[in-house]
Amino acid sequence: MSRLLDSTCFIRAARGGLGRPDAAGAQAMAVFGGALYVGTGALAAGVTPPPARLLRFAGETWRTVLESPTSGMAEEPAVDLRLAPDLLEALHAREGGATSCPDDAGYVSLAVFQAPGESAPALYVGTASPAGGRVLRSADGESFEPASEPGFDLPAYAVTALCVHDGRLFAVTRGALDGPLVDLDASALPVVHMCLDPQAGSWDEASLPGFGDEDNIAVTALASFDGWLYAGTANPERGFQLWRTRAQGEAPFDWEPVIEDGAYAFTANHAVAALAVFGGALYLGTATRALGYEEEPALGTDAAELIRLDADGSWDLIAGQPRFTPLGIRAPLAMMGAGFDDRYNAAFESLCAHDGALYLGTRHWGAFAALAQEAGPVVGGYQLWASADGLDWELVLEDGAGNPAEVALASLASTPEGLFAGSANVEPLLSLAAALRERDDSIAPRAGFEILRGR
Amino acid sequence: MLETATMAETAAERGGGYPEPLFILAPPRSFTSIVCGILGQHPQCYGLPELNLFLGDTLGEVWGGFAGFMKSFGRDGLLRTFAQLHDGAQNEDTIARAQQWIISRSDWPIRKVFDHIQEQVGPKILVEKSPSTLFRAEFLERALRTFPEANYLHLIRHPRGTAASVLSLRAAHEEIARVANVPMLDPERVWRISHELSVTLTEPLPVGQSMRLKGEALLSHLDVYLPQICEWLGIRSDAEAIEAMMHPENSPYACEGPPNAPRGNDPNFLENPTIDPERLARIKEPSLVGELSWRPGENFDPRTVKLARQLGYS
Repeated sequence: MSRLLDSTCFIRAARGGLGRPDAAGAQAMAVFGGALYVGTGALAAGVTPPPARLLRFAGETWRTVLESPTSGMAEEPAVDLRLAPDLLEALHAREGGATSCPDDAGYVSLAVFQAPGESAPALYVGTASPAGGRVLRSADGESFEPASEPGFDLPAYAVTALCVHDGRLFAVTRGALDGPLVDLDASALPVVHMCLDPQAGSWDEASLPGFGDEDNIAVTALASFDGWLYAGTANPERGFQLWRTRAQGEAPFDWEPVIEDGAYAFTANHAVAALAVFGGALYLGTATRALGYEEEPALGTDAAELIRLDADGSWDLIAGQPRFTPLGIRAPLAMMGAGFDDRYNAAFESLCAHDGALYLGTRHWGAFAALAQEAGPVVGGYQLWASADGLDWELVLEDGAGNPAEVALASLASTPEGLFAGSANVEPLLSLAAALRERDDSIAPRAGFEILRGR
Repeated sequence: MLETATMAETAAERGGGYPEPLFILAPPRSFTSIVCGILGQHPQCYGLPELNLFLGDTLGEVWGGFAGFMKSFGRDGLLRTFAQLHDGAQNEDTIARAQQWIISRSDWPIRKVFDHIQEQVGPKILVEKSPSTLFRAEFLERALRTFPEANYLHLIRHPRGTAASVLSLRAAHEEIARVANVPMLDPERVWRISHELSVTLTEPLPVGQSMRLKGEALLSHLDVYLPQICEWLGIRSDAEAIEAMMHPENSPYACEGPPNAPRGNDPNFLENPTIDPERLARIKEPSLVGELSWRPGENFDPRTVKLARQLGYS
């Protein structure tokens, strides 16, 4: 019987963006060479971001092993199209004098991969950059070389997922660039990329764009499970889709749909946010279209759902809205509705198996909703949930572990030293939202990502 | 069985053996008559015509409420229900007696009226489907307040299909067109406002108390969805029960009523209440894209498109 971590098991292994309060996210984690690596990133808010950093944690010490250069490759910072104009304007007014834009605004995905013929695994890093995200490779975790062209030769902002399957490395991008504007909902080309030769930086397209469906505007998650490569999409017209392939034969491979129409919750399940293998099944966390910093939900926008997929392609609803489907009635086996009965959980953003249990990190916009009220406490922020069997879930941490600006757990990693959880921090947006509401006195959010360790 | 069904049984034990009712929420022309007719024929259910009970707090308020709607044909369902339940038949005499019965009980709260119907019917799930429940937020709020533990089925239909059906009915019935052909009752507007209401007000209900279903999917795949509805309600889903549901024409309300209460349901359903599986199997969802036949040169409002997509239409 596994032991679930509870709130008393966690300490802060890092806070305040590790010396850079404007470092908003601990976006990705991986264990390489016996150490934990964490990729950091900034909000795409149009202000000059801090340089992306890759941090190494070993011997209870953090060390920066890679920091983005500022070569002039990225001429100006990216602006998230989805941000409210009044918040953007206020952010810009707050910015100091102009500074040079780093090449990379984030290191947002990580994978450890040993290519055929290589003697040891290497660390791969997916970057976010106004000049186009790319893949970097390091054999020693210290020196990094490009392993792809920026944006795969497209205006693609970030390499948001890397996945090893059947001895090959796969990647997807997210964020369609149009000058300084970036549509983070979409991809410049919603395909799965497959690495042919990492040292030569050559890649091929492993799927058709959108798997042949033009409404699939991005591929948002990848996972390898039971001999299949799975890919989840964002689909604003009919809800997410989940596809899979054996990845055999010539690329692009034959893919088959596994789940369509947002698992029949339609556009309420806008995208696949996270995938993780646990207990012989694949778990899928969904995302609504909520950003995590609205004041009001869109009409009929339910919160995130959790779905369990078996190897035969059948699936069950673990948490979410009960519904009639062509496959039979689907009622939540955990007896909890969308968002684990919390409407502000807009995404089940991270999933990770650790020490015989499954952990789930959410994106939660309760603090912004609370600010919209004239009075009352401003609480909200990510939650961490845990389950020993995938069915019964317990709340481990809530309210951003005491900081309402920590809206999401963007990354989780299982290590011999414990479970690590990295946050996404939106302090500038929350502070400005409070100022716009004349509720500055209601909150004192801390800036910069945090990393918790539970053991 | 879902949690809600268990809750309904618990409530039934508290309330004298009666199960919680099922209310179908949908605007006009959303397949409510045929669906209510089908569900109402389940051996453990009793399908009612349109009672319009949520237009007021008392029977008197309902009887005289909502301008011309009740006076034109909105009362027929109530009259036919009481005629059938009190006298076992619907004719001009029993309808007249039902009217007297109603008028002399104008101070009855609507819950008491409904409980009276339940006592007459016995321990079956009452199935009710008045589209008027979505005419205003206060009506649906009254339903939810009066029946906090009832089950609610949000029945949806593509806005283009709904509008086409509305316009077809108006074209065929001058008395309906006279009342309804006003901008406020534009079929797209009615569709959007009704479904917004249903989505918004049922969202806070406990998980599983309200379920949503596309009418097109249900009617074209009755074999797939009827057992699921039975499972949701915690009632039998065996072949005999499903077969009974395939005959809505067996309902005492599935025909035109006597001259003093001819309606109580959709006129087309009253004219032909029998299920035609081949016709139903051909039901297809139209597209959200394209010009509106009743507003040449215009397309659906973006708010309509967004909501329709959330409900599963494209």
